Amino acid sequence: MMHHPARHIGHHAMMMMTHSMRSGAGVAFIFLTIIIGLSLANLTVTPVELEMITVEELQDSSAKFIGVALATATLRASGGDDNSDSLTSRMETGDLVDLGMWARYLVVENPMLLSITVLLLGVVLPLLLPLGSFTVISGDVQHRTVRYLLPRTTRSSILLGRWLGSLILSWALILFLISSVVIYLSIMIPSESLEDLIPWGGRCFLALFFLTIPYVSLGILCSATFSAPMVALLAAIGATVGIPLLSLSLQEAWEPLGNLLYLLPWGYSHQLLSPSMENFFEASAYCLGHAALFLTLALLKFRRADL
Amino acid sequence: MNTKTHSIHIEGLEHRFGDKVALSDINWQLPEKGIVGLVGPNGAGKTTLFSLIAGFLRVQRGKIGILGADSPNHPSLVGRMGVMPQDAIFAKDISIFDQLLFLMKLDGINGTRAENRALEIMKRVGLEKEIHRGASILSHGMGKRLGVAQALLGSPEIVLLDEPTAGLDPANARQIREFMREVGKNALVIVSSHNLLELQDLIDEVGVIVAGKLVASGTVEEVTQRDRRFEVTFGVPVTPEMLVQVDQLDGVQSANYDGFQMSIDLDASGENGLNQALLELQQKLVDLGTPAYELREGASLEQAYLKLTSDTQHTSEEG
Amino acid sequence: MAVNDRPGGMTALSVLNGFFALGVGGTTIQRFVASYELMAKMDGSGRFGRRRGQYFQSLLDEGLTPLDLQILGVMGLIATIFLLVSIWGILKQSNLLGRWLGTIGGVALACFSVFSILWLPDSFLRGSGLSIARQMFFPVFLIFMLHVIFRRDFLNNRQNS
Repeated sequence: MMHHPARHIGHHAMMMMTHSMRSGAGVAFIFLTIIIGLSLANLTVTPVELEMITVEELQDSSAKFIGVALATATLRASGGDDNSDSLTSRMETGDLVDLGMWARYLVVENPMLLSITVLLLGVVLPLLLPLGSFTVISGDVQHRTVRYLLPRTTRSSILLGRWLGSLILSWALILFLISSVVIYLSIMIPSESLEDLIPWGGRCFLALFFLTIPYVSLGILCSATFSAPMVALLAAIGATVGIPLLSLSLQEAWEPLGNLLYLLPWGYSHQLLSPSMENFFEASAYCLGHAALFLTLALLKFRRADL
Repeated sequence: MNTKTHSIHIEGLEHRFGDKVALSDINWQLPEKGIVGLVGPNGAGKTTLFSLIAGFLRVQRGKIGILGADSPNHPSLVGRMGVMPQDAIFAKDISIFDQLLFLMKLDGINGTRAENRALEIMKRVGLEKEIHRGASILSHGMGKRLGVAQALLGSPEIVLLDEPTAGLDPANARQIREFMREVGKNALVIVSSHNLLELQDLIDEVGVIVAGKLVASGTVEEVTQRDRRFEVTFGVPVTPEMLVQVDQLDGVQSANYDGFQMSIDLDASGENGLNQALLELQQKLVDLGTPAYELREGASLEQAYLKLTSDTQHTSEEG
Repeated sequence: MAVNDRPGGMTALSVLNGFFALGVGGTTIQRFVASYELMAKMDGSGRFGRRRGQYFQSLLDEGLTPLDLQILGVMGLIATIFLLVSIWGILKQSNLLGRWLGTIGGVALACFSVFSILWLPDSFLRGSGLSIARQMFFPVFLIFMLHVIFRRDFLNNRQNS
């Protein structure tokens, strides 16, 4: 009998998605992702829709807020090689003008409400994605269900197939969220036209598409490392939340320790919505690199594990 | 490695769980076809050996060659082994039918052929009514039967069944044994069981594992040749004097009686083996004026097993 | 042997049904209370504070009638009752009580959300239409799960029982 790895990966991916739709954890993941995603969009849209604030006012305040956030993220990224007051020096070199352009790109040149929603999603999604992947390997290892599969397929096929299934499910949810917001904005908010929303919606989807890959891979790594699903979930969420907090607090003690942030995509993920396509491709490549690293570690762990 | 006549070749296998030695120095060669029994006390290492052959556990030291591959996890073995693990459970959220179809999909069987095969195999193990239910509704015995069914779904060349009849009622156990006999004609079936009487009628070869060591292996004849138990029925009640006379024979290791029956363990290791011991016994019974009305072989495998396990335990205690 | 072989997703779905039934139940009570207050405002029999009186007057000025609120209340009531009953039906994997009552409950909940957006003034909704569109997700999700993902579980359970 010939073993076809690609076909097996496809079968495992399909089975993983079916299982997710039928399991309690899977239903909770789908429901929470959509409800939280729509709630974030609602948070953004409500002030404009109820005319509590004008579009111009929101643009102005959002541009300032996003500008400060981008400045914080960008300046801390390059702060290590400059001992002088980095903010002042960057102002002198005119780099902050670029950040202003970037903020303007997000809130003036493109549909602002969609941009803000996607920026919020970019912060929240990393915390939600482990919910969709924490039982992927650990559940079957804990109950030894995986033993029925091992004589029929390779360990790599199981892991890669389930990783792919988790990714496709997550991408489908993100696509649903962005499509819902685009459709809603085009109907209910007169200032947002469908011609502007569709290409920008596509770009936003691409940004979240790439952001999803490393976080799902991290979830799979935790699932392959810990046989108890709850421990896997805690590890994945703990790492996602803990690493930025740790890096920020350690940075106070010794600045290079702030680079711990790059253990996860937190340090560069904002570049996925950069006006520069070069920066976007670079950030996408980093996302893929992170995913490859996590996936390789998961494969090594799973292939050597006693199951 | 001789892979032409042996489908499994185990050499110098050793496995530890932390400091505890679960298996040590296992050397065993298994044939291409037939039914092989794996027996041993609880905790002797049977399931560990099964798990190593099935590829669930990583080989720490030694070699396991299977069907020409040098490792149980070799990709060339995919779909060629059927395994019924002892303590695995089917996924809770998907129906048994869908899970069987998925397993067959991995074996390369799809569509109507797969559906028919799933129905057929579930009928064979008497679970056709439960096929569309979830596995969590199955009783322990039903779960065992489902485990056997999934192991035999494709056309495996090697089938590993870890205690397949434990907890089954006699009718279902018999059904599973018949199934194993049928499969054993074309494949190697390795089965572990504590029911030695059941195994004796079923298996062609046996391996006895005690305290992590393979203390005996070979055909049932080879393993039981030293210790053969016979049940003798007389026309008159057995007396203590008769027992003493029989017990004094060279070829008799021990003898017990109950009513009209005497259980005699013969030592078949003498120069002329079992024939000589039997001849002496029958001559003695005729001399005593109490010829045997019926003489039949008893649970020899059980006898050999008990002797092997007690010998090994004594040795390890002395050591 | 477990008492049942219900997939975990069905249990989760029944919990969500309960959550949404309580949510829509609370809103239904609000709709009925508001409709009687609006009637009282119309015939001048009610006693309201100055701000509340102005608020009801503004609703009337925007064309909202007590009948609109009562129709919405009936839709909400149907949704609440059917969603509540379907919790038991889903847990029992009953095709009629679980799948079909759940479907009717879902449709009623969707209608309740859609007509709320269409009929009620923004000041009454006290939130963006997206929050109601968010509520729309659950009925669609529920109907999809009952008729696509768990369809065979309901049908097979009917055959087995």
